[in-house]
Amino acid sequence: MSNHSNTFSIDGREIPFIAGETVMQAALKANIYIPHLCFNPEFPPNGSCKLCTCDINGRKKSSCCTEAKQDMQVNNETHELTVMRRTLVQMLFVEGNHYCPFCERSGNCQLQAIAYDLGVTDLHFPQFNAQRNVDASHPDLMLDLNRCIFCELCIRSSTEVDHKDIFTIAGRSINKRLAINSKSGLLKDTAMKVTDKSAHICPVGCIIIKGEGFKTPIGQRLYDQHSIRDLGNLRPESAIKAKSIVQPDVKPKKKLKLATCSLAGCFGCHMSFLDMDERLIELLERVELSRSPLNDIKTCAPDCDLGLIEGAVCNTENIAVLRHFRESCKIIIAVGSCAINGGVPSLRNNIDVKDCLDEAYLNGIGLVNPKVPIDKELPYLLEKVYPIHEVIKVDYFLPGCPPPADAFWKILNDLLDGKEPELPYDLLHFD
Amino acid sequence: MDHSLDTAENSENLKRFVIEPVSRVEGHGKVTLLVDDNNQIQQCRLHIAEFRGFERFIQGRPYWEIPILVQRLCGICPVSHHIAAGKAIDMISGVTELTESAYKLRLLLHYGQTLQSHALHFFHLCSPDFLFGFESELAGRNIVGVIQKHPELALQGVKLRKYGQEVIRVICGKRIHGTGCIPGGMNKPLSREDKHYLLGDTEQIIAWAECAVKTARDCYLANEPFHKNFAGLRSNYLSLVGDKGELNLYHGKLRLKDASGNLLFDKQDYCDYQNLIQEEVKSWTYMKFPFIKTMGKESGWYRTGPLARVNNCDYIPTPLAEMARQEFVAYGGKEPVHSTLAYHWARMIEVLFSAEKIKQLLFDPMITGKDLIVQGKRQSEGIGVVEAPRGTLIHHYQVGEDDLITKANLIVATTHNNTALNESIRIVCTQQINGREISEKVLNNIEVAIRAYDPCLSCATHAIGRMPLKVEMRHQQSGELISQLIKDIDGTLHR
Ligand code: SF4
Ligand code: SF4
Ligand code: SF4
Ligand code: FES
Repeated sequence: MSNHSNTFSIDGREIPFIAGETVMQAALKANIYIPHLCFNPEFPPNGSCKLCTCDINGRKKSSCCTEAKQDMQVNNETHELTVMRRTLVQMLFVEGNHYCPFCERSGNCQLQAIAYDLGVTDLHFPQFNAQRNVDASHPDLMLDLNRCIFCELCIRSSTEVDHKDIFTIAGRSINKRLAINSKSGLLKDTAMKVTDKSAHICPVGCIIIKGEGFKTPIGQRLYDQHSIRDLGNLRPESAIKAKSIVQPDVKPKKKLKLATCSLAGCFGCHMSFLDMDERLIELLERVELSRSPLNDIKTCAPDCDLGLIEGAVCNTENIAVLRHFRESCKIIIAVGSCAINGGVPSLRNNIDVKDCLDEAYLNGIGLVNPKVPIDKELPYLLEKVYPIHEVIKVDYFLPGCPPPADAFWKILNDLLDGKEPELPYDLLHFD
Repeated sequence: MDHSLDTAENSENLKRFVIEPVSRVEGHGKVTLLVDDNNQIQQCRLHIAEFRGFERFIQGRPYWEIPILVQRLCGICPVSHHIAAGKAIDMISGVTELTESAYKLRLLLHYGQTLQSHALHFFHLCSPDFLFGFESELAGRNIVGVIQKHPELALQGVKLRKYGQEVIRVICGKRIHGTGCIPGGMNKPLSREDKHYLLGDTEQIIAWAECAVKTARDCYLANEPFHKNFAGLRSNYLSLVGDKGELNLYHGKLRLKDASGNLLFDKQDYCDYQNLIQEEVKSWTYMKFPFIKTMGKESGWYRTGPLARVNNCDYIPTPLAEMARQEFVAYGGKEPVHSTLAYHWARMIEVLFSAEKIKQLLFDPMITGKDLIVQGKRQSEGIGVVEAPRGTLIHHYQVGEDDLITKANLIVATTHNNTALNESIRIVCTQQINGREISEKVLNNIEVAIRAYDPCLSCATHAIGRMPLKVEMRHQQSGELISQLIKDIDGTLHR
């Protein structure tokens, strides 16, 4: 049987393959993008992330592990699969501790890039707050296990290319973790070198080369310029265009009543709202501001159309404000990474609150009258910091830290025009 | 100093009023008043009711990540935190001097930031109080009202801020929370296109900044006797000043003046801040009360920020801003200007200074230089201090051998002003509110006083953990170390 007679179809397109190739391998050669994280063409498949799941002859199968067969029918780009892949990505995010806003791999990270490609704007599930370690014992390398997605590429490359067998997976289910094969369990007691293949293989920000972070400026990072799809020259026509200001051509149908507030956040999201600059003047003609830190109205009008919430939930007062907003506003938009997944304030979730307070107000040096503040005017701190969707129902999510001004403009105009708000690829950021 | 309103003697029978949240300021705070049956105020407090714990949770993070992480303390002046942390991290990487281009880029970044933050504060947040009156109708007393009634002024404010934000964007890749400072320098040169893009507007920006000084001055002088005493305090002033006594927002030595304008100390290395400043904790707020150690908490409190800086410096090294400073100083006469509302005037003088500085820097051929990084020998400790828009900002870090942060201490600008903020609102209570029926309009007087300080209650909620104390005894003549005593965070002492 000659090779060219071997074909199967992906989304109706006939693809050639060589006997023994997987669906993923054949698709890659044909410039068809199937989302994947744990697959790397240099290594045998691992089949752990399941992102490459396709509809293969009517059944859901990982395309990196399924051998291509003559006349196979594969569906890749279906709504159902997109929804499923989104869910998988959301689970990967909440399972670890991913703080894209200050992660040095942001913009160069495959997990993040796939989330952008799939249009993930929120994480849906409650945060796990997994206890994971940072191993910085090695002089040149650092492992931030908070970001590990268990793709096992480091294991495969260390064994097969470096012949060192440094990494392994230990524990099961929620205690699963990447472990180091050394007596101390530390990276410094292995033969790992910065030149090893495994030092450069991690698709996310777990294996880090020390002191190199943030050298690539924003705008020049891999996925700032190309979507993860475009990198395979799959959609060259859709390479990200220079950031353009979206100008709506439809005039507003009605005036919206808008309220905004900041919970545990840094006000950066509000500042980004103001970064609409002159467009603000236009916008403020079409929306009426109710409660907002920008004016002196301290309670929401009961008939607000729209509530923009910045910041995470860290104390009892935040909960009260949030409920007040939910009761008063028809639509609630969670704005920024703090509101959407806890963001930077939730870094305290792996530390005892009492520990934080004691360190600040009791054990400090140079303190006069050291005591932990407690007063009926101070709201109770919550044990953990929560994203707002864990406290109230949220209608839309506007990610970023902060979301760019153009994203505010786009989403508000969509709503003013009575359209379902949508974020184009170049306005979707987690950092 | 009037402590009488700090704590009411008998709070049971008093009516409670609350301003929550304090609005048209950056961040989260609230004010409570306890009032007796004759509408006499017995207690008045500004509470910082949020706690975030930055210093604790950045422990265990790698040091090069810190400038990117800690700017999330504050979205209004993220660049201040980015640069202060950047300076501390330079020190940790053993770099004492940046390349000329990196240094100038940082200056440009910092002045862009000062311009945008000050413009935001005056035009977007505070101008309504002056344009419409402290007790004007609530509905129009905000930026929307300004846009409707004074569209030109509003637009100028919006565009001034926009320009500052654009300076930041071309350097850091984003207007808010970008990346720029990396250990020993900057991650990207300024491109020629970006330089020309910014240069295109400098003249216009300087002209608007001059208008801004006039507007702030005229607003203040229009009702001088009232504005002069409104929340008026006499205080000490703390700021960095440059080597020659000039206004310098990026680097310098600490100077403290008393209320009569006498130098209490000068040319103090900021790395010694622990020996200069102590902090008091009060149970009803998460924000501490710093004071000068040798003076004690009763008289050792001080103010920072634009008023302190313009009062403290000997001159401003740009011509138009220096002229504006001289007029300001002349107004004060023999003493520093103490009026709390004169903060706005001083702030706009700094806007003009920043605008002129930006132009100077853009014409400097080194600004587009590509040599941006220096390397040094790793140290275990770093301190970075800048004059942030709101005042002196201190970042202090210790790092373990594995490059992870072991200790952090941050004293943010607004915290320095804590005593002054509380004192100012108490004076407003006594002067403006006592005996009156308490209404929303009357309470806005309190917020007007708070806004004058441009408090960043967002930064102020980060909460503090102090560094271990280190006492060194040195030989008087030779300066040689005789002995030292170290007290750890847990209180244990060792040598
Ligand atoms: S950028 Fe960093 S934090 Fe974000 S998904 Fe990637 S590894 Fe996780
Ligand atoms: S460290 Fe990186 S390469 Fe290794 S399993 Fe985790 S995510 Fe994969
Ligand atoms: S998402 Fe980022 S910019 Fe927005 S409040 Fe949180 S830290 Fe600030
Ligand atoms: S890429 Fe196929 S399972 Fe991960």
